[in-house]
Amino acid sequence: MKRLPLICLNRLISAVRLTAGALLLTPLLALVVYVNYSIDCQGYFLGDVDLRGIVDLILDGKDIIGFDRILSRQREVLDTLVANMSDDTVPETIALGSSRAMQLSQEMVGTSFYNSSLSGADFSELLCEFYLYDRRGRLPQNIIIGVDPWIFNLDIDAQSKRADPTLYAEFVSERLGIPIPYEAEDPAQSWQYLFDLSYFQGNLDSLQKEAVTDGEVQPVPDGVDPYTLDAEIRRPDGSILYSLSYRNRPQEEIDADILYQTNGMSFLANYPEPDAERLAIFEAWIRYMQEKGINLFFFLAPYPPGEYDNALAKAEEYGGFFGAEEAVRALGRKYNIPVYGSYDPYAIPAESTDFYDGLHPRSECVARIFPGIPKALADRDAGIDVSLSHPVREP
Amino acid sequence: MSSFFSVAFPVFFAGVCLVYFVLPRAVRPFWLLACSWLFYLYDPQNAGFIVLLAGASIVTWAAALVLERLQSRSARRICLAVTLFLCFGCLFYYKYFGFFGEALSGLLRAAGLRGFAAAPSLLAPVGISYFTFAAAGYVIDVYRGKYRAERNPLYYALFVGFFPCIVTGPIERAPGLLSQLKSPPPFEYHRVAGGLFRILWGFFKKFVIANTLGGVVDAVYGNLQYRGYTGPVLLLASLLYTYQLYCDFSAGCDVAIGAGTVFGFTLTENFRQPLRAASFTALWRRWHISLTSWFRDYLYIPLGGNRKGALRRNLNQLFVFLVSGLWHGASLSMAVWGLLNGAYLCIGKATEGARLRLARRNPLYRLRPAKRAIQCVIVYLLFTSCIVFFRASEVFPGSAGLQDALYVYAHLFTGWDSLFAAPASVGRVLASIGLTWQTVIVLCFGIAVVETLESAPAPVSRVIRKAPIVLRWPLYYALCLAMLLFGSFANSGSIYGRF
Repeated sequence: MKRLPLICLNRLISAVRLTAGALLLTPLLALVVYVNYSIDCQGYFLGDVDLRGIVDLILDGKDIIGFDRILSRQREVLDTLVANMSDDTVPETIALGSSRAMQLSQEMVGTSFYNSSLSGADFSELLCEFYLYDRRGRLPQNIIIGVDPWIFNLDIDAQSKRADPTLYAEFVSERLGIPIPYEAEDPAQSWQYLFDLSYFQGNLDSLQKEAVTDGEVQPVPDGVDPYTLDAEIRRPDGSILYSLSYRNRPQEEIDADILYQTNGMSFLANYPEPDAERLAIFEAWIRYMQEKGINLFFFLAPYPPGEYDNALAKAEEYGGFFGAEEAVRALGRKYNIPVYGSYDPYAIPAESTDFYDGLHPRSECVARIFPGIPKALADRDAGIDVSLSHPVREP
Repeated sequence: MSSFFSVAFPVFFAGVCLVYFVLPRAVRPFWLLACSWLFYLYDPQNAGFIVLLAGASIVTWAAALVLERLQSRSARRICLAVTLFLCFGCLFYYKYFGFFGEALSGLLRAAGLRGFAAAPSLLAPVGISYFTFAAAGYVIDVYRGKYRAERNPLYYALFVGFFPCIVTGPIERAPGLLSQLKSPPPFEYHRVAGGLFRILWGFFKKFVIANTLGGVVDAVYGNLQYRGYTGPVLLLASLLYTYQLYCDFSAGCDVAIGAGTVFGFTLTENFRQPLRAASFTALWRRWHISLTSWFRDYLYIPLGGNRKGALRRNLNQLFVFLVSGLWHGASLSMAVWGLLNGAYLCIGKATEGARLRLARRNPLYRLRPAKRAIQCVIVYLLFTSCIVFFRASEVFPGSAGLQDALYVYAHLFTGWDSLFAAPASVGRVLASIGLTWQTVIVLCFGIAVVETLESAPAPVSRVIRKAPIVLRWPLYYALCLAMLLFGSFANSGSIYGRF
């Protein structure tokens, strides 16, 4: 019994020595984890290295040429961008939507801003744009939601090739509490790479090589005015600047585009009314964002007059087109969300010269619609109704 | 996790150790048994075979108890024969059924008898050769009265399935390990630290040397049929494979011994610098010691050993090495590997006197270092000449491996002229098989470290533990950094893990 304290002391000393030994080796483990996380050549934590090259350009404030060639990976770019944002660099305002909202720029918005719209975004893409910020805890203070009329159209789901059903289902199930069956990704799978020694060596190898961009995506050279280039340019605030020739297309060509759209408006065919279930999810999303304290603004980009008239003429076929705007305005009233713009060009008012083509309003037109975040917030807080006085016409 | 070199093993081992040292000493063996079986079950491929492991443990445990109680010599012999038949029957069924079935069907087809399909090769349970030999050795020891049958089946099951030994051995004997397992010693800092260093040493040998060499060897042996490699490259790859095999296998044993040491058990040293042996006989006394001694004690000596004249001794030796070759793998190539080793030993013994007389007249042999170097080189070359069959069998199990080995021999003397005609192209050829300057420097440095630290008579962990802390910790860091920066982690399996 007399030896018991001695034995305990010995064990304690041994335990301390072993712990000290383990601690002395900890810097090596920390080095592996640090390199694997910070270099991350396969993009398990920070996104693909090619995408990161593009994101680095965006973060460096560069205008980018060739983004239109990687549209199939545009959500990945956004995801990588968000992953590389810090609390300090999260923009105060973001815009969500499709290419129809891509003319919203930092200059118009008046705060730090990133236009997170994805070209051709449908309902699930719209929610995923938000979820990319939400899941990384990088939520902005203000969100401008560019609501396209097709997002409540179930008929277009099958056409959506860029959507990520798992990501959407995860968001709706886990965050909005509306169960949608999906197979969750195992986060442990990627976390194993933090400690993977082969990955560590791969990261060191990639460190030796130059950062690779896509080879096709290039920054606009310093000193060159992007407005003079005949190439589609993604601005550092995420907004789009169409090529010089596209911006300066003859009006006849644009009118021809509009006329073509009257044969069948994009994503709006067979759309008698907005889907009620989808509207419910949309409303749940709105509530979710407001619970997070985010200031919301709806933005309805107008359609060219020719198309709108055509939709009016085929009211049964395009019922959902008009119903979408009604639904959005109703939600705006219910949740005190200002609605800027209208699908109705006569309400703006906008003419066919205000469009680049049959779908996208010009930046000057968008600037007329949205007054900027500071004024929008002030108007909302002052209770000013910013809804356009032009009544939504009965189809 | 049928490998020590997977990511999961360090995590598993740390968890096992933490609980092990917290538990009362009397309970520790049972915890180790549970962990050993968990180690086996972790790999889904092995999960079904746990029954086989448990069955082998139960059958041999019960057989030993019966053997001890039987009085009649013939009854004891029958009991032993039945037990060994069951043990080796399982081994034969899983490892050799396909090989012998293929050979038999080939013979029958050659004899004009059609309709005999070759038996399919079965997936052999990991470690079957190791635990079968450990269990069979125990039963024979009990039969011979060298060891008392173990009463507690759990202790015995731990002896058979002890996880550090089940993948690459060493093949332990009951008198050595079983008695230790029953009474684990208390925690002792220096022992645990030494064991952990031994594990680190094994990782270094495996990742920095064996796997790096493996990349070069695979580039040649894996592409024999496509690249048309000539003699110099084939020779180089074969020479490198010998060292790769040594490092790969001994690294597994280092981890096993290190793990055993951490728990407080002394396991058999399986290697004692075999590639520094000055004779072929000495090499085999230092290579895979646990298997070689197993064959010596349970096969070679019962066959008559060297007690019944030179002819019988040579036949015994050839037979033992043939069996040893087949233990390594069911293929003709492995059989040739075994026979060739046996033949070298027989020739070595037969020419011993003449060689001694010649050596006395060799002027180079007057310098002891030169003599030793020449002898080592010759032994290395002889061993490599056998190892070609071993490596070829690794690529093509079955009879195809033999053709591959013969291809290497057939092309061994080609291409030497172009080597001397265009020495500038040597670098390009070497780079094409993965031998860049960086690889060469890393390998040379790594091999020098291994050879230096292992040259001491005591195990490397003991040597290091005696060094002052200012030398020890830089070495730990150097080994870890060498692994991180230059290790090759593509292959976490062990060559001997397949046997």
